[in-house]
Amino acid sequence: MYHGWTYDTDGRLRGVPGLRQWYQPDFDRAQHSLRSARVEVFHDLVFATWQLDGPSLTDYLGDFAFYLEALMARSTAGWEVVGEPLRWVSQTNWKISVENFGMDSLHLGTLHENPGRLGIFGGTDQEPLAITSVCQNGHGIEATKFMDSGDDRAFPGYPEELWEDFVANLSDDQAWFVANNLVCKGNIFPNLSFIDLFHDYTGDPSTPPAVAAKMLRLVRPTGPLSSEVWMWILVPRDAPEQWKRWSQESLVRTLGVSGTFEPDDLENTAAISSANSGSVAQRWNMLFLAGEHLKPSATVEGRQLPGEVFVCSANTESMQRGFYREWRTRMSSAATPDRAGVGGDAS
Amino acid sequence: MTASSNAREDRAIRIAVEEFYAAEAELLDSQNLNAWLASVDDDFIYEVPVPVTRDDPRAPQHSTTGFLSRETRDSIDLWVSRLSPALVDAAYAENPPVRTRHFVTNARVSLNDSNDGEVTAKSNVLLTWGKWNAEMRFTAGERHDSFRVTNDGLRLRRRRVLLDTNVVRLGHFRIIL
Repeated sequence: MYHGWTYDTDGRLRGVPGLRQWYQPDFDRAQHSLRSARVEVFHDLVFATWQLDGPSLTDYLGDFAFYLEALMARSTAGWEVVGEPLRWVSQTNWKISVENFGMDSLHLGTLHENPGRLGIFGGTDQEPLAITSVCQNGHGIEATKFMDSGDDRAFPGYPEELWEDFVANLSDDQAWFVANNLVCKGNIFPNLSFIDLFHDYTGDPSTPPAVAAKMLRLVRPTGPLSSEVWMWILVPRDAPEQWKRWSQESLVRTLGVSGTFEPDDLENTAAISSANSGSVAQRWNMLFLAGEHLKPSATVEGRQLPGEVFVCSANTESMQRGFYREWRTRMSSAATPDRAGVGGDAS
Repeated sequence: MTASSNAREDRAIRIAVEEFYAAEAELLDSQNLNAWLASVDDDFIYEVPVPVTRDDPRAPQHSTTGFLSRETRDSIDLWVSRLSPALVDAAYAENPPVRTRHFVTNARVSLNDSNDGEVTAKSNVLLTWGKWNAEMRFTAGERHDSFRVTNDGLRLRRRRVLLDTNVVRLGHFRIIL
């Protein structure tokens, strides 16, 4: 727009105002095409990268593709984004934001004690089981399940008329993994997280006792101690309109920037980032020790699931270790100064 | 009703709206959400649509389907419960408290509907935000309010806040603008 150069839809430079008067006689338009991004689509999610010669999306997702497909492909009608993305700034390092939202569960009972006691989430007497899969290339996912619901094809909180369709679109193991979940969350390395869960009560007495919701969350680093969060709310396109509204509200009121969860996370992750960028804290590693005693399970309930699978009563920090291992490998191979410790710096 | 008594009544309602804004700002800025909640109607809806950027300056600059906040009296009641003595120790976003100031100006009161007990008002709101030792932050927007006129004064029925920024840059957004 600035100097009026125009390009065709392939990105090739076509028009240059004043080409004959203001530029060298041998000006070669072919030398000044737009940079290309490589674009691939996976079940309606559009991924783009500047790295033209990198791995294909399928190779990059690796064994994680099984899970992403289970999350995205189960609705025949597809998923619809409700409204525009919610965006907010977090005064934290992007990695802290990603692992806090997409990976960590151990803070639920402590940092989120408050909404827990308000009965917003997790009001169950059943002892859930958490299945965590640490996948290739730093990706990871965990499902916290009800193991004795009686119907292993139930999708609590989703309209019942959609359950059959969800199951029909997935393999038997995929359907088992995403059914009966209290929460299912994870992260596609480096910074695209997701959560699929249901809330018990978010302040509307007229809604059903449990409404499921799903969202994608991108954390864009804007500085060492600053990130911008993007939140997209997804609903099955063929769900009833009223249900879509309930589902949207349940997320806005909890994991959104005005919700009963996210503000406490924002406060805490900003404090973590601030404290850990100090000269004393930089001398030591951050600790990701939970679940170090766990051995990978070859099968879960007789099923072979992709990735390194850990089973515990809560998802521990296996995913974080996989995430930071990948990050360290990439940072080291990018010829940046090697700094001791797993994720122990604030860069 | 004579023209002069009509004008007197109009003025009285304008003054009541201005006084409502001053009183509610004091309650909100002194962390007295519970008392503030008593001034809203039972079917109160508070919503902050997602601001959107469009090329056309005449096009609406705020979403009709996406919300940064969408709360009712019942859902804000959960915020009040968060701050109850038993739970306030774990209300990390509000404890230590955020220091806010609401500056509400340019109130434009519309009395067109006042016959059926409804008053609408637009106003400008500027909110300053301080917590810990952080640099002072602020946000600004336009309030679109509607009130029910009762014998006990005005009750807020609906508030829609049109923010002037696409991205929330406060520490968090669990606040009433």
